[in-house]
Amino acid sequence: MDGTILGQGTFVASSANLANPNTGVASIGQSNATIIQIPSGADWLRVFNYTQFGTVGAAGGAYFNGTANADVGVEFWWQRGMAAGTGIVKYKASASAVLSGDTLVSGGFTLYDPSGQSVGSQPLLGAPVATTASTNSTRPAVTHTADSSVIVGSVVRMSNTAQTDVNGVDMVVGTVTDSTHFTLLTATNALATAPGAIGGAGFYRVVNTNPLFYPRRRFVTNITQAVNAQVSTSVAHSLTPGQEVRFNIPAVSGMIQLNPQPLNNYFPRGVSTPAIVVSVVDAYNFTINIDTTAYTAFTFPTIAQQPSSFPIVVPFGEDTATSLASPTIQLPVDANNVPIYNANSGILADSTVNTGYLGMILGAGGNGTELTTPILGPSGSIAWSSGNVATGDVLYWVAGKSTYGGL
Amino acid sequence: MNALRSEWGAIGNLRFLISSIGSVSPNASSLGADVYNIFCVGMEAYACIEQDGYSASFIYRPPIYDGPLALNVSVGYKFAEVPRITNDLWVINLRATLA
Repeated sequence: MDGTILGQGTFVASSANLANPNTGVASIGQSNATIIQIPSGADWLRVFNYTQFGTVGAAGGAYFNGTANADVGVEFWWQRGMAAGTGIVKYKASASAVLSGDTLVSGGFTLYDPSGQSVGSQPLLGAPVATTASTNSTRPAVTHTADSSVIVGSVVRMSNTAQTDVNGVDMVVGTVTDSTHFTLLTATNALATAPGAIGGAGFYRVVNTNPLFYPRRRFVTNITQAVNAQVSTSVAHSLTPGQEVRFNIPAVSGMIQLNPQPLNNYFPRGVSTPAIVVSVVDAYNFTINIDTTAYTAFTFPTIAQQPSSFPIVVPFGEDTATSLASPTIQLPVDANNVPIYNANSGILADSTVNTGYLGMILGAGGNGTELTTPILGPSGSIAWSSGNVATGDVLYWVAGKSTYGGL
Repeated sequence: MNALRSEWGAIGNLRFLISSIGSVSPNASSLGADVYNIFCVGMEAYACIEQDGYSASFIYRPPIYDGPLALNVSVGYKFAEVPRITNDLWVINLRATLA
């Protein structure tokens, strides 16, 4: 077995940003998909749900996408050659101690390589999905052909719609109504201005990965006129208090005073300091030290103003004094509050790092081939108490590289 | 000024260099086409501070250095310089699709 590499690890199922699917009643629900790091890559992977192995199947069914019709998987197997997102699963049916077997149609295992260079790994962009309509709203509601890959928190990139100001701008999905409807952006980072007309037919693609290097430039959807202006970004900004930023606001967006002014030492107009993040409101909003009350109101470019540049915010450095004075920790996190891999913290939180690693995406589950109803996947399940407190399963995994053989 | 090996042409004072590893944003245009990021960099827009005159080196040792069976190669790099953008406004990203 010369050359074989084995790895192992454990993790707790993630409930970040999830809520009890049966509020006020104890229940079992799906977890967030989890990515485990496997630096060597893997030819095979086995995952055991340590918590669920020791109990009978969820009585009455576990919740999956809002419906209590899922069984809970307890053991999972994948090896190279199996289609992305699939895997072999053993599960326990409702209130049963008997192990049953099936294969997952989706929500199983997918190789992860954010550089996009590994064969068979998750693509950086999903396949195009046709849309039939987008509303003229600061949070455009999109109607599309059936696609269950979009969930709340997904990032999508629109194209070919009549909303030329929305096309090409990565935006987080704030609401998923069903498999043919979702709404762009959240209540806190809606566009400052509606596009001006409905979108009509077009396409979207799911953006699976962030740019490799942190910190990242982001599109700005809104900036308030306030003593400490609040900046909204179209996807999670991942900035921390103390980080300096520079804006590139096009004339069509109004608030050009926030741009670096060459005649003011490249500071925004009327101030003697660069723009500094003073607080992080949420994953999509942060406030800065600049008083924008006297600046021109911010607008998001409309269809009628196209073509135009788009407002962006670019991380620029760190103001050590602000970061040291901040009561919150400077730890860059993603939209799910998970620390960004390889990023530094504290006064070095702004440092440029490569966030890439090889790993495996453990899915939240999907339909079984034989069962045709959902089975919770290798990311584990969440036990919700009647007080809506989440407890994630404990899972163990073993991965390896094989010496010989093929697909 | 001498032309560089990768130099493709120039418009006024802006010289264009081509690269096989340029930055591409896939399907990022309004019509879903790939967008090419063309960095327009002004003179002295960035600088490199080389420590003790050292800069960066990519090191490759062929398999013969590994052992009598020459089974493994070694690859690594040493990086003893600090690159720094001196003025962001002198670095512009010109975004374009293919005609």
